[in-house]
Amino acid sequence: MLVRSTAATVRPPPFVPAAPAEARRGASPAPRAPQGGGDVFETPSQPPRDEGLKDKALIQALHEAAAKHKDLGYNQARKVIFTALDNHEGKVKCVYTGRELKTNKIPNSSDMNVEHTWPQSKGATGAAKSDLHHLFPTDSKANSQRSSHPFGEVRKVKWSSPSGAKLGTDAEGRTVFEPPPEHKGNVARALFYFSTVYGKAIPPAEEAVLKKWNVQDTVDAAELTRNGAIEKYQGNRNPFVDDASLAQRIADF
Amino acid sequence: MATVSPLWALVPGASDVPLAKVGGAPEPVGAVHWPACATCGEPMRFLFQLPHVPGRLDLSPSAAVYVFQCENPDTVCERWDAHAGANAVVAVEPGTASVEGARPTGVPYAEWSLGLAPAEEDTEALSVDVNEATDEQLAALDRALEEAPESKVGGVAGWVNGDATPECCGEPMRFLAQLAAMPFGLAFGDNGRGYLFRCRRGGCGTPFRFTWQGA
Repeated sequence: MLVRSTAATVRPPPFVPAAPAEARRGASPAPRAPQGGGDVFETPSQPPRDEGLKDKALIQALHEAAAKHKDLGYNQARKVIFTALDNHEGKVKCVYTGRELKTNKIPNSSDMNVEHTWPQSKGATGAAKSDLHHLFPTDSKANSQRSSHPFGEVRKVKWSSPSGAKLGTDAEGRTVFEPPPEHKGNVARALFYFSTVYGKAIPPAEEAVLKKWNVQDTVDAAELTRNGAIEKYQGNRNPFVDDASLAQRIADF
Repeated sequence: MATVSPLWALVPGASDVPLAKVGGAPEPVGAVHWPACATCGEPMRFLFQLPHVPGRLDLSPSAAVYVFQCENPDTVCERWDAHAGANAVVAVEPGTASVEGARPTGVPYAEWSLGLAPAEEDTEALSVDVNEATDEQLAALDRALEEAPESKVGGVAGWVNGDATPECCGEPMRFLAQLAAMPFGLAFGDNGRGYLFRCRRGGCGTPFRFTWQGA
């Protein structure tokens, strides 16, 4: 039976980075420098344990591999994001607008805060609220514009950022949020992870767009590095970052 | 630690506090001028009202505050911003009851009465500076946020996504009340909360401010 609970998550004692978790699915691809400014993707060098599986069987295997992790607590997760995980040489960059903030601490929330790629109002509660794999630093205004709207391709723009992020309506008239091109794949893989770990369905229209973005914006070195860093904090990896082709073997998240 | 007002939970559906409510139409205690959005010019949508309740919610000399925000479907005005003019706190002194000004054409929010009930929260844990906090204090803050009333007057602001206290007259404003989006269905972003503040000096023309924050 497919078990997609988060019961295995545990709230930790006083925070310490998790010890490197035991390899769960063979070796991860080594980060490779982006070529020509674009993203790169490399398939895992060893066959994963989920080889040959697809659909629900694959989801179950990935859930078993990735669901168990340390719950940092939300405020610890915020601290990690702004002071270490997404702080590069003293700057934190908004994934939606590209705006950079010089900081060595958690900033005032009216300036920059943390985005739940999978909205709290749609199920990112409990341990999921603090799961770094779907949390990213964002400009507060951009985060408010995104609100809890689904992701999609904007046809009629109401709001946009020079980075390429947009809010508006899609071809069907639904209000959707479209991240900038370089973050589209990250969003897709974060949501595939969330769906798999927390047993939440992705609406079909959104899933189709995410699968497209997963192919268009492939995994880059920064995303792989972040995946490895998160493993040190909370003890699990996003398998859809380690092997982006996994999503194509799942017909319905 | 800053002085904290006595805490009372705001209880949806209770009716022990006349004039405290969410949605429907404003029930004026004096002259309410319906506000328009400073960005798009359209009439704002009424969210909620809270009355002055001696010993519990001090709004004096106002008898009540009425909170609105822009929900123009054709724009994306920055309605969460305390100073952008896309939301408004209309403070009303006692007088002849009236509501003036253009109103929005959309449907009002469903009407809920509100009551006040005694409540407790971990004031010390909620007041911690997250950048100075130990890991234990951050964990205590998480617990305190989970346990504190989501909607309340007084106490310490329970921020969904970190402190964003607005300033007025050169200093941080005093927290008065917060209202969770649910169960009312208020448009406060992702699982958001709205926060009502008052200027500490009181010499400005807009002593009350509203902001909201989502996850």
